[in-house]
Amino acid sequence: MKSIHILYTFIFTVTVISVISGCRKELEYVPESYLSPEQVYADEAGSIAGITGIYKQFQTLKKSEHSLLGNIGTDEGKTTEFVPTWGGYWLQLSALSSYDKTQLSAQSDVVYYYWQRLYQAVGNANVAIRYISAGTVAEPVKSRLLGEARFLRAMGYFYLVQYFGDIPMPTDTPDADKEENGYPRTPAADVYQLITSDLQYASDNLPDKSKMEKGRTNKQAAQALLGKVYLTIKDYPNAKKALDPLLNTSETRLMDNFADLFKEENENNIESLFEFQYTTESGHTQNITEILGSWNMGSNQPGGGGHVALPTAYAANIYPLQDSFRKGATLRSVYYDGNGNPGLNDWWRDAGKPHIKKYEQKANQQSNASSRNVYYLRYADVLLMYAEVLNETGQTTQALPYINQVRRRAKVDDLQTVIGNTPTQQQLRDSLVTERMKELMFEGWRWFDLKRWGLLVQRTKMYNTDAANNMEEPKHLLYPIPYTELIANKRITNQNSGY
Amino acid sequence: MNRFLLMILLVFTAPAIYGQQRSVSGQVIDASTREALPNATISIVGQTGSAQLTNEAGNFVITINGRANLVVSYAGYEPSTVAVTAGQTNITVSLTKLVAGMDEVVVIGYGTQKRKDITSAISSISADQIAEMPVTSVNMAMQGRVPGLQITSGGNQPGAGTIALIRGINSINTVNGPLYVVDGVITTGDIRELNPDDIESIDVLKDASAAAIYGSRASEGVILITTKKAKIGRASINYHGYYGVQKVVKAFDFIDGKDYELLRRLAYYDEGGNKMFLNDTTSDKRFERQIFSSLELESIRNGKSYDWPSRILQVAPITSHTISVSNGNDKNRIYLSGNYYDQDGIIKNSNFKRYSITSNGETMITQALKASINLNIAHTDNKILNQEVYYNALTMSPLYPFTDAQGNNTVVLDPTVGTSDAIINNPEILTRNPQIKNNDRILGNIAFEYKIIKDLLFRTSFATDIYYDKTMYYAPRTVNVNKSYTLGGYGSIANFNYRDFTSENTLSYNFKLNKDHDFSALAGFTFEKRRQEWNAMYGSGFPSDKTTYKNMALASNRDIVSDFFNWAIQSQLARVIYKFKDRYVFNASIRRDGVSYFGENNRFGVYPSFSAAWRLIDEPFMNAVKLKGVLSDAKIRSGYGVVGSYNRTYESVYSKMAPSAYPFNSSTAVTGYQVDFYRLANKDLKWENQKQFNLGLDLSFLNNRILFNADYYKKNNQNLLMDLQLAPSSPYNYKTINVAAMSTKGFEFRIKADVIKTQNFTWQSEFNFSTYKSQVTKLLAGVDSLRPNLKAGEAPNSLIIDYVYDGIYQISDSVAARAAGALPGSVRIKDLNGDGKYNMYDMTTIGRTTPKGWGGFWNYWNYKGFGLTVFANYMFGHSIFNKAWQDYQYSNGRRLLMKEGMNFWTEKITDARGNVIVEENTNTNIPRPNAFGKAVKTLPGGTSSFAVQKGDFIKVRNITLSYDFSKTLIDKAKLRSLTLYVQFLDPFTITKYTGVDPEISQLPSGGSWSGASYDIYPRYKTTLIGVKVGL
Repeated sequence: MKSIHILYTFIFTVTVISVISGCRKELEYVPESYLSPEQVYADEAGSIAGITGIYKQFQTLKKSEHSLLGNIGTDEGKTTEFVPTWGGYWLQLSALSSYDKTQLSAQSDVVYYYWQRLYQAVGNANVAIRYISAGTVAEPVKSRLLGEARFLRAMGYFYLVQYFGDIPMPTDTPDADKEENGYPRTPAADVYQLITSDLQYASDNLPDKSKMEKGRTNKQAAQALLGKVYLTIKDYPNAKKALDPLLNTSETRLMDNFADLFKEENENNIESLFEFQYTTESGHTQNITEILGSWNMGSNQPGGGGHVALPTAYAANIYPLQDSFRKGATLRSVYYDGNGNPGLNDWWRDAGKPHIKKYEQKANQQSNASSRNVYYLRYADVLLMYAEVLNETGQTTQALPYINQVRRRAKVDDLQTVIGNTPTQQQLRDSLVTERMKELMFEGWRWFDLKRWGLLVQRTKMYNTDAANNMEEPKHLLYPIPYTELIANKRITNQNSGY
Repeated sequence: MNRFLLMILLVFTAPAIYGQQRSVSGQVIDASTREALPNATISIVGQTGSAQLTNEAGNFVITINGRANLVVSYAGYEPSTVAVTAGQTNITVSLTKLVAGMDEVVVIGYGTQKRKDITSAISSISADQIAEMPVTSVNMAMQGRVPGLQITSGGNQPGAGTIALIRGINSINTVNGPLYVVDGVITTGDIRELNPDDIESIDVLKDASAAAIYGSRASEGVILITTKKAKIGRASINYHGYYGVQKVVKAFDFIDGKDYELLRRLAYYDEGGNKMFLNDTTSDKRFERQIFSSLELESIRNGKSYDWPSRILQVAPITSHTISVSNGNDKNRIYLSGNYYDQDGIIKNSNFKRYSITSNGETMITQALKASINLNIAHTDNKILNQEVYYNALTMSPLYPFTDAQGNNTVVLDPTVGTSDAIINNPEILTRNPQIKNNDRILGNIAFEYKIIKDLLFRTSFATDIYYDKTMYYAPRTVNVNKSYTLGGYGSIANFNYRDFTSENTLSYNFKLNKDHDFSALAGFTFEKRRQEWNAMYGSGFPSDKTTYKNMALASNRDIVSDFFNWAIQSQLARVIYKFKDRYVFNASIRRDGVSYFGENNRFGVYPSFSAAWRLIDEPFMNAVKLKGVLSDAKIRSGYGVVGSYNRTYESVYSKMAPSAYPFNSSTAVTGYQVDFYRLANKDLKWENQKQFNLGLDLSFLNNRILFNADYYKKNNQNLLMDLQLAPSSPYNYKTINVAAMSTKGFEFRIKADVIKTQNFTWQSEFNFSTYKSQVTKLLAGVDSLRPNLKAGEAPNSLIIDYVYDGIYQISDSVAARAAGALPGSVRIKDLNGDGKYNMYDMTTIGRTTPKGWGGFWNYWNYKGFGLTVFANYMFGHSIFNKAWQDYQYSNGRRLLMKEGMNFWTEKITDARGNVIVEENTNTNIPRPNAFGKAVKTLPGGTSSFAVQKGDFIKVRNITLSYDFSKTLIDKAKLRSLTLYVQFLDPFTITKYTGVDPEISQLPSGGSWSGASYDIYPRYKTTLIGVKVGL
């Protein structure tokens, strides 16, 4: 009895002691399934993967109705009559087209998501720049990666500063206090300072387009975007300086045929400087094709394929008879079901009105899961920007050849046939207003172009009936700072005027 | 205690009085009724294996050596020790029945205590109470029975979970629910795997002084469940089975196809005033075709209307069988039980099945060493329908035929909506494709108790909780899931599982200093470790609908997600209970928890408690009062304790990257990473904690015929975790911080009475009431409101914030209507801040979802074996946001309305030919039908105070009529007992609330009270018959 007594006591004691000693270590557990930024950016492969993640942010931003910003709420595009009837979020989206007094407010979820996603893109770029700058990645890869990150950050800030004016501006220098309590509004001029310095770095350090993997940003894209930024802030000499190298490079040129620009087999073509990549892979598709009411090819059920936005009546009629190639590649008026039978979508409220055809996809694809890429910058834009720079610096006649390059590719007569051989500066400005719409319709630039020209409110009220009664200047030259930002950011107290 | 000393003395002196062997016979009887007690246990002190039972007449014969001391025990009676003197051959032992409640043993966590010595707020439920109603889960067995405990059902669908709140909400962001401890093992979740028939008792530790022994996990209270163990005595077999049917209780009465057609026409006509929508005279009917599908037009032509809700509803059976075996002697005891439970839902194809086995056993290895095992193995099989099913059936166009000409379900397409959202999932197709959720759970422990020396007991146990949850779902081509409708099917499999291992080691020591000082001390060490995994795969684009989720590799688009975590908790605990003169009881406990889920600075927390009770009744000066018999018990309890709240997550503590691939060159996506900006890491996080004070009073009157318990408490919850919204530009979304505080004051009482107690007729009655008031006392510095429904000075997450409904704009209000961007016939709301704009600044508190009080009322009558139980629970003072009620009255031309909705605002409308379509109706509070949301345009969120209703109710939960067969009949059938019963569950509810169920306030996963009632699974009532047989 006695020995058993001792044995039990011994077993219990051993058990207790072993458990006690084992568990202290267990408390110091760090979750195994979490990957920290330090682990990711520890080597070159990780750093490259981090940069990849920034591209993804823009792919997400651009894949659905957010890509309509820039197109709708202008003289070029509007939401369909259906959209407000879906209520809630969609009502708010339609307000970006109609500038509805109650729905376009700081509470707009559409504006909020747009803001949030751009800042997450910028945030990822900041993290990448921070870790790669301090990291061990060898040159020339290091400069290339930083160039990509800085290009993408500039792209994010360029959208933000144009839409919102003075904005919070986190950079790659971490600031724990501001992360928690908020970054103050930085004057737009300072934001442009960061954007131009980022793009200058990218232009200097990124390899040529042909040396970069397709779909990545590159020297030529950086130059073009830098030119666009300078043009926007009306710094014409610097804009010209930035764009000049693009006119004498073999890295890019116009495609021969306008319609070929919008064929899936020609994605990442010679004219394209930078475009957002989509594939058939789950998570990498876009539904712009669907929301623009494109052909409902893959579905053999009625109802697949929607229509959220379409050109205004003005835009739909902007192409003169001669401009049929661009018109034919840009607009559609006939709809098909999956079997190729026309006319099934006649229950659309806006049935019969032309829709955008540019994002049309190959047959047998789900329209809401399209693999079509979306352009950001292409060479035709560069030529038109260059013409604008020349015109604004008084070199109106010198600007004509650049516009004509674009028009000739579209098989349209030279601009001189319309406005004569010696147009005035204003005549050329007016021509650019329509030329850019005809060339770049629904490629995301219209809102910014109009704002740059000081025509946003005037022309939108004139050609977009939904907005006619609602738009005000200067209120609608900026979007409202989202409500969540105003509430959560202790260093922002002022809303954009009018909201 | 004297008796105990005597026993000890006898044990040691027994060998000295050895004499010759002889037989002693006798009878065991009830001291008051003088009735014989069959199956009472007789054993000789100091002689193991000597135990035997009395026969049917209460008689026994036992062999002793000369003189002996006999211990006689019988369940529910005070055991008695009788000395058999030399020469005595016949004895009569009379046993005294235990006074109800007084010597009842209460489980207090790592030990037990007698009810009369309890110092804190602990409520108990017995097996008898649980057996009254067939319930699926432990929680439902407690509903309305425990003061201070609020049980909310997560829904009416079979297998829906429940949420238990003890004394209100204790946190702002998370509602974990109470800690469930089964046979000493700390578990997770609401233990729905446990068959309620296997439960011996439930003890609810309500206040912090009781719960503090469970430390950092106890802030929402602790529910201790003790499963049934075998009793020493005759082997028994029990069977309990029931069968019933459930029928829907209709909440709304809907319009038919003809009215629906009218509303749709009006809703589209209203937009542009095009009379072609009212009566399309064009040759190709192109206006009608814009708003009705061809199937609908056919129904209109043929005057057909289809009642979709009835199509998917059914009268559903419910059945349960439990068989248990129990046997035990003074060395070994075993209890085995098996249960099969099968409940069909009143919507076709929803179902919950449970198969469970319980086996509890214990054995005395030596006099000093005892080993025991408790094991529960359960499998549940739940077919869950998407909430969308009933909503779709309710909102579906009644013009849609159930099937096409071939008898196949049609894919329903709304012709007025232009995206893939146009596909309204056919509710009947949805019912054929439920989500299947299988759970397997093994909950068990092995324990050894070793008596090192007298009164010093070492207990060690190893417990395990192995949980495996698997959900499988397949949506065929005919169902639209995430717009995957045309992708060719959508399948998913998700696996969640964890393994908990807990080691508990305690040392307890009881000793008496002299007659007046009684100590009971406990010290222990516990360690718990969990390994948890979650992984899921989602696929779409299957070549056929045949293989479903069973072959996920066939999907052309696939997604995989997974995670993997460990958790560890290490604790030390100690408790001392000191009793002075049996009248003053003091209880002090402390627990120190170390956990893995906080940063290194804050891994340890200490949780002390102190409580005391004063048994007033036992004071000498009370003797006079006691003798009069009016007051039979009086006790005052008071306690204070600190407990913590846990939230098993690493999300808020560590920063991490998430996958973010990108397809360069439009080809296969390459790996990428993005920062997970959802939360900013915070390594300084620590526990939420709660300090609670409790004051209680226990009284009983008229020889315990009336029992009264009341408790007042006040608690302060501090360091509450909140997700601080960060500026989106930061670019983080949230940072979790310990910041908020709230306080709650509450009161609860229970009265239990034997109203009538005669030979043939008894009436027992029990009533309880609970109330509390919570308020947030601190949010962030300088901020009194973080989100609309969370405000300092108000109960957390209890506010319904929306616009104030102000009637309908009339023709005479045209100018005001226009200014608000509306037209006559639109909803008018109050411009509270008078700025002429209607925006979120005009929202205000329009209701509170926390009740002012709730409780239960229970009655039991018995006349000569016929029993009648009526049990009702009630709640009052809370509002419910009945969005459904608004939606089913405001027509957008697409939603089905209830009949009241036909009283909409309208001017007189005629079609192009001058036929009157509707007459003027302006004296109403329902806006005009409009398809484009214009009639509710003043409501940016689409809702207003129109939808807020009082939720007060009295719900009769159970009426049971039972009959216990008489003893003579049972004897003939060689049975021990036989009971038959008929039961009506949820037969009726008294309420003014017009929604589905005033009791179900949906708790979203975030844990905040939304108080909203929407497209929920309908309520039903059940009628069943059951039988209980004892062999």
